[in-house]
Amino acid sequence: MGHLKLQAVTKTFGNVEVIRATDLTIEEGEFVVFVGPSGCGKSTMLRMIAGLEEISSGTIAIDGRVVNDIAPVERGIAMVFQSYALYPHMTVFENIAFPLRVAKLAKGEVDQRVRRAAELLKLSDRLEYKPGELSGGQRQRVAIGRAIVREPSVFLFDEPLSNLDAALRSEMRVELSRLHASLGNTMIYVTHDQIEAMTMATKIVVLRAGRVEQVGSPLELFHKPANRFVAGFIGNPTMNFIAAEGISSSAEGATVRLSTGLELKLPVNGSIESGEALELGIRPDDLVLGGADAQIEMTPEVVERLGNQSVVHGITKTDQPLCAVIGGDRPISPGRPTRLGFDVAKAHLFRNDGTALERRVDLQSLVAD
Amino acid sequence: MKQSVLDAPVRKNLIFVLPGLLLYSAFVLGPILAAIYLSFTEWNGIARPDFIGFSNYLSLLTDSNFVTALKNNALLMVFYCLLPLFIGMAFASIVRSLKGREQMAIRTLLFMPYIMPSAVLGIVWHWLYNPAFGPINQILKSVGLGAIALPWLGDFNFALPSVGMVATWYYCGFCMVIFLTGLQRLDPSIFEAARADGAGAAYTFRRITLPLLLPEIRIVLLLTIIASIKSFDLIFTMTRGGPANSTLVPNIYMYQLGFQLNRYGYAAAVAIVGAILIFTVNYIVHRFVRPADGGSR
Ligand SMILES: Nc1ncnc2c1ncn2[C@@H]1O[C@H](COP(=O)(O)OP(=O)(O)O)[C@@H](O)[C@H]1O
Ligand SMILES: [Mg+2]
Repeated sequence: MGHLKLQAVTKTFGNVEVIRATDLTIEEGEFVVFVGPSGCGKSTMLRMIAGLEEISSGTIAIDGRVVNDIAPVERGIAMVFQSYALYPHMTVFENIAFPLRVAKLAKGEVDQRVRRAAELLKLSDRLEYKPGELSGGQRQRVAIGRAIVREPSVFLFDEPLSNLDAALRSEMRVELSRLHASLGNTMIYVTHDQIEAMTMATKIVVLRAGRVEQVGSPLELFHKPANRFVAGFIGNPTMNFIAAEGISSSAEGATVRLSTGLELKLPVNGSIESGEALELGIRPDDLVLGGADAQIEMTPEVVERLGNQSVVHGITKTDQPLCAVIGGDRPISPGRPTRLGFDVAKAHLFRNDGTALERRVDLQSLVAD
Repeated sequence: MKQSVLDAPVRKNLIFVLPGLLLYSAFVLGPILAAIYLSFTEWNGIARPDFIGFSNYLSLLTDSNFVTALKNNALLMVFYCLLPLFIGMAFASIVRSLKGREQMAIRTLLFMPYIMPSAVLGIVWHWLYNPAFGPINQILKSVGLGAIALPWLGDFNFALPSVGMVATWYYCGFCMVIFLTGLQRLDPSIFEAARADGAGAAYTFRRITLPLLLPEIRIVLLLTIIASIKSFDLIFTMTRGGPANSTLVPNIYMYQLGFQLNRYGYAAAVAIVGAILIFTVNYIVHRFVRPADGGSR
């Protein structure tokens, strides 16, 4: 239970198309994260799956049953809202029990289910409190408890952690992953935070302006972004983009000339034209101090020292901004020109329209031990 | 630390409060104290007041006019408090579901009566209710309902409800606005959560909206109860307490006693009883209509 299929789903508000035709299949037991910048339609997508928002065209099927015209409660979903949406006048117990009371379950059954959920979420000693007396993390767990007791086949989360502080957020990320492992239900999770997406998802759906940009596992998105947008969105700090010009392509890859004058041969698939405007992408973590295949000179402007590593923001001679993450023990200081290098196999190459030339990376070898 | 003039001792700062305090004493506190004193006297407005202790209050207990006035006032509370409460809440939920300009227009229309002086409205409604040429009866007659075209304000049974309906009309826009702000205060996703959990409209209203609007319900009750006990201008301009005392309320009675019969001491006692009533009823509302959410357990 918990298989989901979206076919050509669209949504328009007035005459604004907020979700463009979207096809998506979500397998049972997956932890799918919709990620994208604010306003790209993540919540709308989730609310259409929940049935809180009607879809303008297309079909949504849950477990093989088309649910377009079926009320939320009959879809077998449960939703956790960003603002928690707890009932402030009810105790924690009553909040969690609410869906069961609506469903008119027997008293004993309600009691048993609520206590089981409370135990799972470590809320047993808070059952008689009101939401106003709980911490943010506890409120979030109550909201999750209210979803759990319904025993839905699909859980929907709309930015559930964005109201928590950083420490609590990373704690809750682990708890949510643990919850997913223990319940095994399908979970659909919406966030604008790519770290949440990378850490929790088994499958990430990247959205931009109502369009699915790429669907894939976290590592697939990280190592083989389909386009410049995904490459820039996934990964922190953001990937560096350097203008380049195509020279030639062969079986070994594409040869390009960077705006800094450097000529490189990158191991990517697909052919390029001579003179084609391209863009090279290199992640800040893949830039190293000193020599490597390719070298760029940079003058650091700001050095953020995090201890274990330093984030260096600087500029090249050709006024190309550049960011690098280097070991925290390496000598670097603002104003002193530094030589950075990178391995050409780590570089990404994008065409003028943003699409990526496929990199030759074996994803299997990345996860195997 | 920087010293402000306000850091001076309290008695020095009193100077800032003094102008307000003087005005308050002259126009509010003084008259209240004077009224309390007068209520223990017999006074015709010219001679010296004679102190007679609790006699005025004792006479009130057996004064059939006063008892009538209290009964009428109790009935008026239905029109001043309960009807506006329910109608206002219904309006609020309807208006909330409207969008943009329509909402604005309807909200303004419904609130309009409240911004007019009620004495003016009394005169307008007195004319609307006019048995011979008032529009209400004209319309009733023109649609063939001449049989129920009553002399509304002149009928012993209908005068009080007729006046009451005007009060309802006057206050329900006000109540609606209060409830609208109350609904805006609530997190909309609460209602979505309830919907996702399968709660129907009635269930959601009973278990969620109503309890969460208790603070607004309390305010509405407090304000309309005060208004109902203080009611004077609407009634004065429409019926002057008649016919045959059928719309007599304590404040009208007080007016008659004081300014028509020159029994100022007795009239003051009526006023004091009215004030005590306001305090009592408000205390009861305060005590028993409690917000159910948050804070202390
Ligand atoms: N009820 C609505 N009416 C009109 N426009 C809406 C409505 N809900 C959302 N939108 C628009 O749809 C777009 C996507 O919104 P949303 O799904 O909330 O984005 P997010 O990805 O931040 O969750 C936004 O541009 C928003 O303005
Ligand atoms: Mg959102």
